[in-house]
Amino acid sequence: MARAQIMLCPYCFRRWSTATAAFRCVSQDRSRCPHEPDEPLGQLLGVDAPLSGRVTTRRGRLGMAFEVKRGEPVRCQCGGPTKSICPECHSDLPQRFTQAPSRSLALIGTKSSGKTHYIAVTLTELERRIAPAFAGSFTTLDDHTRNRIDSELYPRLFQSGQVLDATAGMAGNAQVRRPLVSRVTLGGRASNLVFFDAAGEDLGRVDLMQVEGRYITESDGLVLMLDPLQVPRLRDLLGGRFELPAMTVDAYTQLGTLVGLLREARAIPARKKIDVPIAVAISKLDTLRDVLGESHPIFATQTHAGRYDRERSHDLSQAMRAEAVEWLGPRLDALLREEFETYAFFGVSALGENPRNGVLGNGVAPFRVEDPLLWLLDSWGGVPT
Amino acid sequence: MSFAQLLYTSSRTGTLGSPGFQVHAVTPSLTPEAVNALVRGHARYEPPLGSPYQPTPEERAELPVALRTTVVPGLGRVVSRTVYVGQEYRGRDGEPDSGRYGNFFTHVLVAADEQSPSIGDLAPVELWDSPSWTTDERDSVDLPPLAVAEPGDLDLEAAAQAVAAAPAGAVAAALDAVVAALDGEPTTVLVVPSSTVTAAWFACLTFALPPQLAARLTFSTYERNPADHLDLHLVAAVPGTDPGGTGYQRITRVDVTEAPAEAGSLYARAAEHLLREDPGHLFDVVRRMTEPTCDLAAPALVAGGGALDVVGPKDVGLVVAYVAALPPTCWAGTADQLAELPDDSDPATLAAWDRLHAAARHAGAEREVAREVASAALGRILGAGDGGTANLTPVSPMAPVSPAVAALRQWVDGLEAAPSVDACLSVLRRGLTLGLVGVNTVVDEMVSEKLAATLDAPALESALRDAARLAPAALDGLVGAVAESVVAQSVGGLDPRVDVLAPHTVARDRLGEHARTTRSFWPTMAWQRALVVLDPEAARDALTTLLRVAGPADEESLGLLWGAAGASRPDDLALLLQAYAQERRDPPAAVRDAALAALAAAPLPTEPPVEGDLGYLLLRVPGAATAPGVTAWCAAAWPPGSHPDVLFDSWMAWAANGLADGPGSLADVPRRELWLLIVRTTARHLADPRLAPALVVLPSTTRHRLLAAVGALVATRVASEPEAVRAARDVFVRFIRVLDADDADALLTTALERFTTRQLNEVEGMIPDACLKQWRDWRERHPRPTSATRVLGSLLRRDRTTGAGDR
Repeated sequence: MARAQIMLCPYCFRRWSTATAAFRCVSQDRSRCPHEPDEPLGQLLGVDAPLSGRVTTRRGRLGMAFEVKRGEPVRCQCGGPTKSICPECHSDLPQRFTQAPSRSLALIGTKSSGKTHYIAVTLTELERRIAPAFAGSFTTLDDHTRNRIDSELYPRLFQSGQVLDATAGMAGNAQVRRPLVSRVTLGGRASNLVFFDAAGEDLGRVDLMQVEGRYITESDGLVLMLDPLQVPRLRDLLGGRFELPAMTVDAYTQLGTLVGLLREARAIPARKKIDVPIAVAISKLDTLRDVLGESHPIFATQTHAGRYDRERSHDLSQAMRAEAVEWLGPRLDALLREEFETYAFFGVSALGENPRNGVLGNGVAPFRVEDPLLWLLDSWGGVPT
Repeated sequence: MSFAQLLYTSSRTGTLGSPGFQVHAVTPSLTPEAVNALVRGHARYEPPLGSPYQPTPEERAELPVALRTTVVPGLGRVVSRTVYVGQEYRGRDGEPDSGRYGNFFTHVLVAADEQSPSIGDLAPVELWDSPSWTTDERDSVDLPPLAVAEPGDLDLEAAAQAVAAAPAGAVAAALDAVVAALDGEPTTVLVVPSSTVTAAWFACLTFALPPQLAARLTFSTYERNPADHLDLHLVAAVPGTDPGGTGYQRITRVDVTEAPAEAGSLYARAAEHLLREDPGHLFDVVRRMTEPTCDLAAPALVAGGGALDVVGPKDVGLVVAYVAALPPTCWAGTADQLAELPDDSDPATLAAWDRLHAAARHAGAEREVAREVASAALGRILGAGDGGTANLTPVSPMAPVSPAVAALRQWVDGLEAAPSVDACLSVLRRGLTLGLVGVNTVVDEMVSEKLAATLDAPALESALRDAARLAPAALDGLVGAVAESVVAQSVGGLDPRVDVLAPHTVARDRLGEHARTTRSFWPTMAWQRALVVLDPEAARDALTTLLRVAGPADEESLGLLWGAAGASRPDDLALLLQAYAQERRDPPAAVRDAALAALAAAPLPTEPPVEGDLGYLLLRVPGAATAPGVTAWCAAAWPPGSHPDVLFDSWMAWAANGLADGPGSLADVPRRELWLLIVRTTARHLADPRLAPALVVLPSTTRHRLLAAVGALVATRVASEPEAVRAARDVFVRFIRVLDADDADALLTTALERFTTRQLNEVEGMIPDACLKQWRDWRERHPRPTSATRVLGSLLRRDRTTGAGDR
């Protein structure tokens, strides 16, 4: 029997102890087990309490997690089978969700900074290359994630070589509100990874969104995507060679907004730093080969011999930090140092090339997309070193 | 009237201040909270799976359009249209569009009034393809209100045709699901074969809903993941979207390409039926509805739309109850279909038919239609038999509308087929309640014949009581007809049911008519019996009438005038004997014996007789004059001296015969009366020299008892004389001389019982010598007790009285 641990619901972004478990009756016989109004679910969805299967709650003893005994699945009082749900919002939980520590990652970045592409490619890379390199495995935990990868992201990006659509704001887009939930096991250490994608525009109005805003403030780790093609100094250098996205807000402003949100939501006093690790990932690294030079350590061949190399990661972070200060000035780094306990710089390229007219000339060739993720996993103890 | 607007898209400019998805322009009157709510509810679009990644303008035109409508708290009805517009940044001044694909354009309109269910006069679905929608970017974020919202070119008839191509039952299933969603059930995900028919379906569903429901309907004609939008009542699922499973998910999935397994509700079935047959009529009927729910509106739709074909057995009651509540002017076109409704023996359904029947019978207009309706309803009521018709609504036969003869025939058939008297009464009672008696002469005759042939007197009385209670207006007609049937069936006898009919004037009239027509005895007897039942005083005239038509064989039946038991009261028998006497015919022995029995049981007359007295009449009947009752009556009627011919001895002969036992002997009461009369009369004639001879007619025991009683009277009289001793002496002397020894002894024993020894000694002193020996002999036979003996006797009497002697 395991001790109870705190889980974060990937839908309502509230935390609960596994000492409590909730189950919903999934019997089809509504005459014997009529559906009941489900107010917690209605609050989550912003609708009147929808009629749903009866909820049964179980509690572990003496601070232990409630575990379903082998051969004795939890049944509704009507005798029907049940499905595990979040005790807070009554959303259906991904399969075996409470059996591993759950880590949520929120991707933040300006519009067109590459967040969606980063997630799509990272999930694919985790499954095909990274997990095997750590003698581990990767699996999606729900149908939505599997379908999103198999039916949308992979065919479009990897098979057709066409960039993904712009991500709409999550305010009206239920699809975005659904996280991509997977389990990655590296060196025998399993972690549930919950990715939240969002439009760059959302950060500017996240304070207006009661539920969705928590995807950022309650995350276990943050990835701040920094688009070099939106850095004025680099635009001057790269203009004419690449299609440049429209300029939006600058990263410093966005980070400042994020800091305010986190401190307010987590009630972190000014004298204390934010204890959420943040990975600052300079995206579209492929466009910077000429700027940084091929000899830049970031372009060195990367190998994973079954373990995470902290020292190497630290060195690369310092290198990219220096570049960032060069391009952006010291204020971003200073803000990070002052506000966050843990942060690091990375350089990543999800697509491997800058698309033209939305089309990749050579297909997807990702580069170092796993670095921010492995760094975060290391900070949580989820990867062997 | 103007409508606040909001435009949402990915653009270079807008309220965000930087490129991206944002509120591109908005009417300034909308607050930030309102804007946020509008964006959350309306600003979204993802093309269907399988859509081109970079669609051309032609391909974009093929992508589904999302027409959404919601009710936003604080704002009211909101309608939006969202279309896919391709790339993020729209080109201007000849420049092509740029940026990534995935951009959409949402145009939101807000109702002018928070309470308004529509945008202006337009239902949300009427804004499909409206020219008021725009996908053009604006130069300013401030967007003026839209002055006029114009309808699209949605053709309801064409929409109905498109929807009618769905399998049977699909429309009903969709409608039911939407109604359920409006009632709090899960969102309806409508799986349609193509996005091109979505608007047609939504339009048909909207306009097929009662207006009060349609006003609350929220929907979206397109969502990439329809099952995610539980805040809407209705969402379309077109190819390339995920309609959600049918498991425990919180949606109701209706695939309009498949025939549903179950029939829909009555409302939905009727709506589908009309949609396929005459959609214009459907929409017209629905538009006028005021019912708040489909359950309440269903009968209105069925009846108003003339869709009774879809009514199932369980729905009949609902529909019929609704029709019953309608004014008759609304029944045209419904009447013939009512008869085709399926059978349902449910009590509630029968109650509805009953209400409809009553309503139709009392219709003040459209009486021909009402007649059909009443006939149809009557058929169902009668077809149900006894079950469920216990509380039928009474209908007067005078109601302005009568059912068709065929419907009445059904009732008559039931009456004729009734297997028992009780069943017959039950059917009759139903017909009386429903006002079926008295509406058709032929039917009434048939009913009357049946009743006359089936019901005995008690049953007929019960039936007429029911008629008086349930259908007083039809009572006379029924009674008259029954009377005719009864008298027609009464040959050679008097039907006891005449007594039941007698209180009814119409019955007596009919009987009289029949009697006068036939001029024969039995019809006349029935008629006269009816009159006598009503008024016994009519017996005299009745007998007169009867004797005019009675043959010799009929005379013995005259007593039936007083019922099956014949005449039994002295007055009745007197009338009867008078009648015979008038005809100078001797009454039959039975009549004579009855008269004698009546006389023997009657009190003796105390008044002088008249000729009509029974005793008087019996004197003239052969064999009756010597009957004890008659002689006793004579003794009472004519005391000695009351007539020159009545002497004491002959009077005593009457009286003595009156006391005789045997046939016709007096009953106890008149016997006691006669005895007292004899005693008193004898006492008054003690001085009559014919006393002794007269007493000879009495048996000795009777005579001695009589004299003892007379003696007691004498004793009283002697005791009151001033000179009692002398009076006693006179009594002794008189009776010892005129009576024989035993008779005198019987009288004197009581007459002198109270005299003491001293008084008797005084009497003895006054006794003539000629009688002295008899006196002393008498005293020896009747010694007076001594004082000791009296005391002892007194004590013994007291103990006997108190029971002390038992000790």
